[in-house]
Amino acid sequence: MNVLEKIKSGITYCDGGAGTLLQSWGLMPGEYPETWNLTHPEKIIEMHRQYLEAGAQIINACTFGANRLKFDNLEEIINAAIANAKKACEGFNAYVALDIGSTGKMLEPLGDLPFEEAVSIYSEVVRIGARAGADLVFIETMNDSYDAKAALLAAKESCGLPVFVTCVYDEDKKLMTGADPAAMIAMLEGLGADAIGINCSLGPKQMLEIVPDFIRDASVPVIVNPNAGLPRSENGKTVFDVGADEFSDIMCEIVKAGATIIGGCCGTTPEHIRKTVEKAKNLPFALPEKKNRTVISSYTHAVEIGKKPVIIGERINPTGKKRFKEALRQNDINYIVNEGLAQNKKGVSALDVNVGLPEIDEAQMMVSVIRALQSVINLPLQIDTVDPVAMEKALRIYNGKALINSVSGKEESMKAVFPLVKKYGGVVIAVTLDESGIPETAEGRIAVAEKIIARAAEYGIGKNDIIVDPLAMAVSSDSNSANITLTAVKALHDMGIKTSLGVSNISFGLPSRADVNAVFYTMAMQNGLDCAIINPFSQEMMKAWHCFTALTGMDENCADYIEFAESLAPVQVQTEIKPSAGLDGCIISGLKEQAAAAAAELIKTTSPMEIINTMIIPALNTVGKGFEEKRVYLPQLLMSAQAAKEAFDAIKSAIPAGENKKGKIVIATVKGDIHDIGKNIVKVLLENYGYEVIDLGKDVEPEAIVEAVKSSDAKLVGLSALMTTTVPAMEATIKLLRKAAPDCKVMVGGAVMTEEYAEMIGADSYGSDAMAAVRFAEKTI
Amino acid sequence: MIEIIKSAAAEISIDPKEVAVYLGYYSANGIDPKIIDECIAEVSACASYKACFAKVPVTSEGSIDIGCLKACGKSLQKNLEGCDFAYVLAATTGFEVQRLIERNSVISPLKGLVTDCAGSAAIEAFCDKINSALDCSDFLRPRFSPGYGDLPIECQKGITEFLNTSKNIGLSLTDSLMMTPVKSVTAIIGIGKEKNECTGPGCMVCRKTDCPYR
Repeated sequence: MNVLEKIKSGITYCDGGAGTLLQSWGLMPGEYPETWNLTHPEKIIEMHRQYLEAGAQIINACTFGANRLKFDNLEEIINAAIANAKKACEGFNAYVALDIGSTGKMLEPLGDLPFEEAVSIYSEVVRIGARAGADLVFIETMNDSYDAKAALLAAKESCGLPVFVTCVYDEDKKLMTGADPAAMIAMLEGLGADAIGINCSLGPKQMLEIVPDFIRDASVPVIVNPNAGLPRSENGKTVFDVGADEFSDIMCEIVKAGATIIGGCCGTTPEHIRKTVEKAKNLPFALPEKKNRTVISSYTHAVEIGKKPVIIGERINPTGKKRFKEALRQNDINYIVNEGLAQNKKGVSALDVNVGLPEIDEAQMMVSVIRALQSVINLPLQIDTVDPVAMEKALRIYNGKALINSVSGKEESMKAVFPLVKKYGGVVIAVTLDESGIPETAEGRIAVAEKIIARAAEYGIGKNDIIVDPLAMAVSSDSNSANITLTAVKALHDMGIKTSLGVSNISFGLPSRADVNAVFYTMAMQNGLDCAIINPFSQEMMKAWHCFTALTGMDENCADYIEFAESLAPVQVQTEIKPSAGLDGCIISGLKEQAAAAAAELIKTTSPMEIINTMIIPALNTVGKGFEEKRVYLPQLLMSAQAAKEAFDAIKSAIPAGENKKGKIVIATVKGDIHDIGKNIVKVLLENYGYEVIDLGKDVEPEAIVEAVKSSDAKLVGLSALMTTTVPAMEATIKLLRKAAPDCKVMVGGAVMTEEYAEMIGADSYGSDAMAAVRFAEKTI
Repeated sequence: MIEIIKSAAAEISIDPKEVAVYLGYYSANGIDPKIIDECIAEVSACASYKACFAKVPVTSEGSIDIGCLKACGKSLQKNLEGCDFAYVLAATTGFEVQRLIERNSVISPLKGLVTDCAGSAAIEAFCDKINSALDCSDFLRPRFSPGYGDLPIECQKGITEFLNTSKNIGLSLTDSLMMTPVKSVTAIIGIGKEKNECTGPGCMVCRKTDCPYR
């Protein structure tokens, strides 16, 4: 019987804590237990044997912290660890797990470990462990969903062994980086974990509270490995407060609640396991039911599709949007992220992400945008692309279980998309068209849907991970088109198939499109539509959704509707914003709205360049001077900068192309530095003064900075570093720049910088603050 | 023995005046208090305060040398003078605060800046609370962190490994020894035997006399 058959045949027991036991045998604090595989193999074997004798059936080889960041002799350690565990298992019917813990480093964007680097670190461990003969891979004590994804992906890619994953939850049922059980279950099951669960941090009592969350959502066996309660100090020794009797009693409750793979973590001993095995062995065994729900997730939560209609915000898409296209061409990721933030505020449940433009590298842009979005917005994302390369790159780095838009009934499409859905997990939108086009009848579209679902099944993708889009077509060109779509929605709904629509196509070519869209949307929801890609800034659409959910009993006490309706109440007639002290006065006082209003008024009579040169820049100079003389503080400087920006925006369209662009400046926080508040302030001010700023972000490789300078032909670079540890990276960047772009000047700044330091590393200028950067730019360009 | 403590956001009060000081003001006057209050509220709403600490012996040379943790230097020695023991502390506001700062910086640089300062005030307030909790019978010296005086920043490594902060409170280091979550503190706190004259506000013992925080 292999381990997968074993966990499906009855309650399976894991081992308990290793650290506490080894410490009592002489392991020093701070000493790596993994090295004992080589130096004290007999003790490691003895530890395993004690757990096996207590009844453990899966034992974790002593490889928890074994990875190349900690060990130069990784292969030797893992080989010895697996060999020790196997030796201990002689005479027992037990399985040896390659134990994988976190690298201890935080993944980007919260830390500095790139996702693919993490995957590579874990892959190396898995390859060695699998070769050494482990029976399974046990990924445990994961604090972060992204880290867990990297490890699981590595395991699936590097071996064919079963993979178990347990994470560390808090009393508030969340991982350290925010994910709840539902989000983790969606992601881990999507990636193909064979069993999932909880370990460490909490005692059995607290874990008992979380088990129902797992049983409610999980379809694979659930693992529970608690600590022996909380640690406390007794005569200088660490003891845990839950003894073997109490522990085993609660473990029985945990089994009754539905967990089928149980053991212990920190502080638990062979005695804890022995008593648990004794008491739990006669308890009834039942695996979790297969849930067949349609679930997507982000790095904090899951969204189930099939209950309340789900709104997917459509605004991250260049189609028909000039400003958005411009942002894509200029790599203005902030603009795109702001589109996401604004939709989030409107109450969407997921964000569609489409960044396809013929003239840009879509795969690269998709990766940048998803990284940026998932570092600040916790909504699940819908990866919207026809390019399979972009789709795979996006799915790889996505921190959760994504929506994928889309697959069609074309063989080519299904062949490209289904392997990705299977490998990375995800819910895919299936559009009902194939080689012969879009069927003209509801039956025809349903037939395509059924074909897609059947084909997906061959790849091992369940019906629940497919959402059919029966296509809304312009009613202006075929008066029956709405009927066909609605009939298809209803029929699919009755067949238990989830549906989605890009609603606004229906009104193409008609006046007052928003009204048509909203009524069609309502009709579709009434027919069972599960989700829709809509514009959340359309009041008509949001009204339709709120009214529908209130009227169909999905909005308890109509609370959401009432809140929404109140937000629509006409705001008291705004007193007309009158520029009180002229445009320059508004900028000096940092009054955004007034500055914009004043500029809009002035542009009627004055040329844009005159406004800029006689009002905006002098006002900025006044504030800047005050800042330099320490009469004005940074927040005021920023408020003025924002007011100036609003004024610029108000007159921007009138500025003749090419004018007021003073020159290009590349700015970045150097490699290794993850703080960029200061750099962002410098950016705003430079933009104010008319420079075109190419912002490369933070933690930027020297090569990337050089590349940007060369491709933009910028004559000035601004570098920021916060700590002494990142100044060498700054120096390396300057050296590289000197070689590749000798006529480009370099200014530096940041908390640790000083005039002398700047000189030492070869910079042209040291900026003590943002205004100093502006002054140097004025001198240089 | 490493102890872990957690505080509910409601237990930590972030002082707007402190935020104003971080923003460069000597008092809260002169900046719109609304934006400070708003950012404090947002930080409070998402902070997850966690800390871990251990009591360790101080060597006769006034340094710390236990397992992977080695911390020494003239300024630390001065700080630990007369102490037989010290606490080694690591504390954090959690990843949601880091994400909030990032998010608000995208929305507006001003809001980003104020949130960043509110985060700094939050971690200081949390550390103060831990200090006073530990202070019941001992006389604690000012918190002394890697990077202060001649205590090298590399000392972060020893502290985080010794306290296993990555596992215990989610705090880890980047290759350049920056902490994530960003609003975190590591420190050594001397345990004095009597009320020592240097227990005054941290800033006043510093030798940099032209600093605006004084």
